[in-house]
Amino acid sequence: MTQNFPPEPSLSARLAAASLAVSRCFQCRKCSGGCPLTFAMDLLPDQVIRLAFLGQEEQVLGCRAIWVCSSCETCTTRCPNGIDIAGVIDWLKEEAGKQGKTASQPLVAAFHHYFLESIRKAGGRLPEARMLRRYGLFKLWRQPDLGELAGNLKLGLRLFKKGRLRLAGPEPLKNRAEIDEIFKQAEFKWQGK
Amino acid sequence: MAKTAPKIALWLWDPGGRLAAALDLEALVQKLARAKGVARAEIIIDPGSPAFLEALHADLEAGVIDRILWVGRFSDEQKRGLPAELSACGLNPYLHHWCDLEEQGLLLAGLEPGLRNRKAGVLLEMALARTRLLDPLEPLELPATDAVLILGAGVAGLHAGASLTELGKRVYLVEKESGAGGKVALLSRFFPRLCDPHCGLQFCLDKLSASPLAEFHTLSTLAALEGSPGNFQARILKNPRYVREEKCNGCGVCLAACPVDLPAGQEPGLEKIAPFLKPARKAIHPAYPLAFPAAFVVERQHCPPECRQCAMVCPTGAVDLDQPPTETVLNVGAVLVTTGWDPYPLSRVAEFGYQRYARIISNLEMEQLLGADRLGSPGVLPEFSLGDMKEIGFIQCVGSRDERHLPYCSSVCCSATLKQAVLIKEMNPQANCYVFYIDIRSPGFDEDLYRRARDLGVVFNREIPSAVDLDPGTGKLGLRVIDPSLNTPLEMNLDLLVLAGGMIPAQGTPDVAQALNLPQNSYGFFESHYQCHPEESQRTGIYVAGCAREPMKVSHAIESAHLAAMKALKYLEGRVLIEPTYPVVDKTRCDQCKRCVEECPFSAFGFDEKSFPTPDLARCRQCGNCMGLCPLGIISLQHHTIKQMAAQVEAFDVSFMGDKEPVVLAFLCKNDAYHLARGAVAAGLDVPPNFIFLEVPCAGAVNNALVADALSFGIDGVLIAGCPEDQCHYVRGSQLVQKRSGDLRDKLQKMMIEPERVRFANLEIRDSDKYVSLLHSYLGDLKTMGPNPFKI
Repeated sequence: MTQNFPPEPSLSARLAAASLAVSRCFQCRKCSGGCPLTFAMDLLPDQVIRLAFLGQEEQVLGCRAIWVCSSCETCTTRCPNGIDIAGVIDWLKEEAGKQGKTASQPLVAAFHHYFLESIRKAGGRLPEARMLRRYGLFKLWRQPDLGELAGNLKLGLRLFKKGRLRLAGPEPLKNRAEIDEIFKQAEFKWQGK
Repeated sequence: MAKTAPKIALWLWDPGGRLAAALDLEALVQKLARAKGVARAEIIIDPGSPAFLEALHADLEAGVIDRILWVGRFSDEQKRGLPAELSACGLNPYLHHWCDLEEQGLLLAGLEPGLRNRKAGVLLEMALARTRLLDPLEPLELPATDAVLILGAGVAGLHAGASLTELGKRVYLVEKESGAGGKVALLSRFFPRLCDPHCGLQFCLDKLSASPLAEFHTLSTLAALEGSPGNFQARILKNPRYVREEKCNGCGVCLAACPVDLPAGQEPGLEKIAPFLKPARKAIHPAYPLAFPAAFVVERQHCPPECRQCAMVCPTGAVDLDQPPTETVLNVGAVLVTTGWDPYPLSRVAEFGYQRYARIISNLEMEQLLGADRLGSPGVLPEFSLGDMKEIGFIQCVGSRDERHLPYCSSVCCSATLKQAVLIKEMNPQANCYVFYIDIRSPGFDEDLYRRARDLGVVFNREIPSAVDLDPGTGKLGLRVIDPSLNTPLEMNLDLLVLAGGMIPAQGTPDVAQALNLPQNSYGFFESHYQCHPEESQRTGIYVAGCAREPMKVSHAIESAHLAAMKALKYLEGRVLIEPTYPVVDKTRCDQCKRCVEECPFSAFGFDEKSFPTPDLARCRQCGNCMGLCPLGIISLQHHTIKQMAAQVEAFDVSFMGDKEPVVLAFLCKNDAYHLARGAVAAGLDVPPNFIFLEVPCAGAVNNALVADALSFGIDGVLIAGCPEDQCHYVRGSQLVQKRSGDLRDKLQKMMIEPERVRFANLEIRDSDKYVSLLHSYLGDLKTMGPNPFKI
């Protein structure tokens, strides 16, 4: 595959504007060396950073790697150039969601979305039952599997009986307005279906 | 001076009684008191006590004693202080010998007392043998001038010159161009501060032009150098300037009159070797690269015949179009070689299209473009406006780190490219810069520049394109690389490509090398020790600084220039002090074989009027290699003479280990091997008692005759230990001594002695363990060989 140059600086500039500059990278590949999830990735973390720097937006938003990332932040902690690699990947997830480019890992992307959306709705705390319902319905719609559904319902019931699953949502945080502001600033938006 | 019998005072100092606990000191001293030439032999309580010193003074004044053998372990302070103190009452400082029994391992555990006593006896007899032959010596003082010759008025030469004039030395700056400044004057800015290099150059020029001690010889080259350090005669050839420097005030009236317009660009005939640009100019123009000296210069080869316009209009009558070349002889004490560098001819790296496509330029040309752009001048190449360049590529290591071109790293090109990319991005943030590299080498704080370039969005590609092609349709330069991170080919089209070319020694280097008889390394730069004495060339009194020595950045060139200037001061003090430990040739026995002349590592030997070899004492570094290599054994370093060593060898009593055990004499180089042998004893390592060592100035100072002597006296083996071959302080002493081993082999075979009894070792200063295991394996071999047939 041949890239077309000159690289498109806009992606790199947008990342830099979000305090996630990637141009400092000198390809030591320490991030990829320490990443515990590379076995499941199509691109290595350093390649994500390199592609982002070179402005290859299609490729980097469409990859599976950003959804495999569990945000353990080992890469960020160890980067000699202070690049927030996990932050960049997080930003790319959001960007992919906004642009509806989640086809590579729709379920992970949906989980990511419903997780955040539920927190937003509940004012800062995770309403587990709501999240599971929303995600479960999405999954049922995308990959109908009644057996799995039955299994999950059974598990849910057991958890409920032991008091591990509350149906009522948690109390919102005291300063809910701040949570709303964070989501607003992140321009939280979702096109993924 | 008639030789009188020596009157030796043998003072044995044994603080704490450590020797007395292991040896029968009284018996030893009593025995030695009866030895030949011994006037006094006593165990002393405190060599610093007034009572002792008083008695010593009295003995000296009465003429009872005339030299001292100090036995025991004395501190460095005592070894320095006692001779100085005693020289006040007339004892020459070279009439002392120090014999440390401990360093020979006499106190190591496990030795039977009889052996200790016998070995101590041998060591003391050997020390006495040398002490008897000591001669009083005085340092020499040779007259010297206070002037220095600096070859090359670039940044290194100017800094050295300015500093030396501040120290009151006369400075002759010889420059082949019409003006000072060298390559640094062509740079737009220099790192890490990114300021204008003309500022730093001007600072030096102001100092130099204000000093009555500095003299500039432009358009000049060195033809020959004669004489010796402190008193060199340098023959300087000066090409005509066609403008009298003392008259021209640089008013520029001639510029309007000159009918010849020379275009900007590369000088015809020079492009293959010097890829940098000269500005558009008239045939008469200010000095170049810097207008210093202020006098103009005429490029006479471009003048129309009969044209004398400039001469006619010159208001001071300075133009002299018939000026002949001249020759001057300068008397100087030292020479600083700061001849600098030239860019590698990039057209030789054919795949990158230099000089095939106009938009491929060298990094030095980029400097000139950046400079012109910054100064708003029309530019050295008007068709290149950096503002119009959107896509700019840099290829690193063009010519450097390439077996086909220059195997070495030119060391500054990475930082230079980082600087250029930063300057371009800061001037025009829309421009995209791509750097293709093998490694980015940004040592020390240059890393800040690398980070700055990345922060500015410069694209770094750790790969080098294989070739560059011009797209005739778009006029752009196309190149293709594999991105190693993505393992994907990248193709790009550039407006401008900069080749970061390597550094080679300046064009005139071979001529300078010839005139100075100065060795060059395999890359053509002047040879240096690089590590311990980077400023020193292999010719005494000649120092090399800046890129004439090795590729280096401006700040390092300035540092190296000051180091060279400091070292040269020794020869600019009006006199050169020579330690009396210099070599002396016995001309009555010399057969003029010239080996000393040829093999002296510092070319210190010349011939006297009768064609006998004579060391130039100012050049000599007193390594003793001449003493070692003389086939007749008639060259001696004073105070370490062959006679003294031979007497020690003769005094070596081979029976101290008994009949069964072999005994070995070791010659240890004082730079490394001697220290490690002491270290082995100090560390309590298992040093076999069979060895007795002598300290020599260099392994190369051991003459074959001494080795043959030792073996003929029945010593079972001779060990010669020097530095590793490429680490010799005197260039190749340890190589020379091994080279001679062939001669020695023949000699020993004729004597029916196994040549394997002689062993060479190359050891480093901390190789004590290696030394000890070598001693053991050597002893094993000697035991297998059996006793020396001459051992009776």
